[in-house]
Amino acid sequence: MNRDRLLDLMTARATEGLDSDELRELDPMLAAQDEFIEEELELAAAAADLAIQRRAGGAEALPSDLRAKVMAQSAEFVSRAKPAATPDVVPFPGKDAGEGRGDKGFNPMTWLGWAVAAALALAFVPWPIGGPDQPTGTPTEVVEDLPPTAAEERQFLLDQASDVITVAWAPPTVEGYEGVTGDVVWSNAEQRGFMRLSGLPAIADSDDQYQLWIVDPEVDKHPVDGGVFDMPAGAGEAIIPIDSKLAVDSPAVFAITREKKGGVVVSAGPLLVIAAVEA
Amino acid sequence: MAWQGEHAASFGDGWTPARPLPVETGRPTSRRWSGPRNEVESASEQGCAEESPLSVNDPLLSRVAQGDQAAVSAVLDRYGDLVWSLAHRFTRNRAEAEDAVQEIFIELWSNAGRYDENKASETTFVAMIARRRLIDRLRKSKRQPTTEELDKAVEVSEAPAGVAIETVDEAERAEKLMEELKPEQREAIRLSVYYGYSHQIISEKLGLPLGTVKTHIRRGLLRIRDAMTASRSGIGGEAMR
Repeated sequence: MNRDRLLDLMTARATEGLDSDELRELDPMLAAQDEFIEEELELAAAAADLAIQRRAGGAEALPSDLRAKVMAQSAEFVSRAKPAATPDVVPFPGKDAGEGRGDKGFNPMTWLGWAVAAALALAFVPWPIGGPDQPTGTPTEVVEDLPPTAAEERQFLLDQASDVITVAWAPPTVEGYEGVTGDVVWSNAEQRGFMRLSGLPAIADSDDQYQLWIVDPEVDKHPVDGGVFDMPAGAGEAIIPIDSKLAVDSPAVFAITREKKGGVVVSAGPLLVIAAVEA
Repeated sequence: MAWQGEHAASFGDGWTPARPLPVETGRPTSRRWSGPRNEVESASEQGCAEESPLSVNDPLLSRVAQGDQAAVSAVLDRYGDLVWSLAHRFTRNRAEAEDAVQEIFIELWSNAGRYDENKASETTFVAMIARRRLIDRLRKSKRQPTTEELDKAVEVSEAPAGVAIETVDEAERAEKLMEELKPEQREAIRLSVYYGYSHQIISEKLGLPLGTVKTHIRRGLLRIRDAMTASRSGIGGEAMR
């Protein structure tokens, strides 16, 4: 193990982030040694940041209107965190150890599988590419003083983004996932998107999470991590924001895998649900 | 690529008056921030506490991880200013900073269970979570600062001298340690960690080889890391020397 290289990567991760290739290089290096603990240079950078900020005059006051928004958000977070209050529209959870480390991707060896899967999906499904007149998801209900729900934000994106696409999930073939339906909406201009999922098996109580991958050959040779999410038991239709770790300019395929909680850098699949964008 | 539109604004635009950093909690009193002590009390006054009352000395993240609603709100009161400052500085744009703050708090609440007081103070952990998200956003947006912004950052590099540091908080230790670094190391860390400039841009601006810039930053962070580790092991200020 090259100690200098490991420190280079840890330093870069703490200051300017890493690309997918660097992440793939870092993870096994961290696992193969016991001198450094994951995150400790990030913590050191955070401490340095705080130190410099102290000298610069301390923290700035959080604007009162933003404070109110986040406070409302906290109430929503708590209500969603309670099992009895699990809504149909699930929140998008944060990630654990993998969070914030930049884009993640599949092992290059699995890239062929992606291409094949995308081709098969395209062969069987007439992929709609829609504008604002496409299916708009669940009815929305505006709650005063609360931030918009995922459904409302999705609807807003459909209404406002001129380049938004809507792509249906292909009929899944993996056992247990045959009943999954829904779609993906995505705007390159806004760099935002949402998954709509019905029938995705619940895994909220397990040690696993679902992970979205976005194939954009123009951005990276590896699929881009689109974020991890839970599917609570009893959820009907879930609308989940996409959290792409890189800018996506030309998405070709959206795919969901089941991974350990927090997501993975390299996935072995299988691809449970796929939505392929018509070329 | 240059900053566009609002991104080209100076760092000073829209900034509100400075406030002290949050009170450190969750550690023995000797490790606490020396700033104002009413941050969490204000949370209780706002009626967010549904569970047992929170005091300024209470660790919050462990309680958030246990589903304590009062702690979820108190995290905002205690760390809101810090997160906002980081977001505003990284994004240079109020609207983007507001989006980022909301994302960061969701992430913080969701990841509260990962906090380990043996590794860092709660404040440092919060700052790390925020920085991760902000670095992610910066990479996603493919933004680069303008030369003018970097020039300004370099021009104000000389920190006021003679700041008395007598307490033992992590950030204060880091501040003291940074004073002991070589000027070029301190500058490289400041531009990288505080302003978020890439190593390449810092190399070009300071006229140093890229490898030298990386080495400066790495060595500086390792010294801070060593000091944090020593502090948590009970060695205290010795690690600073």
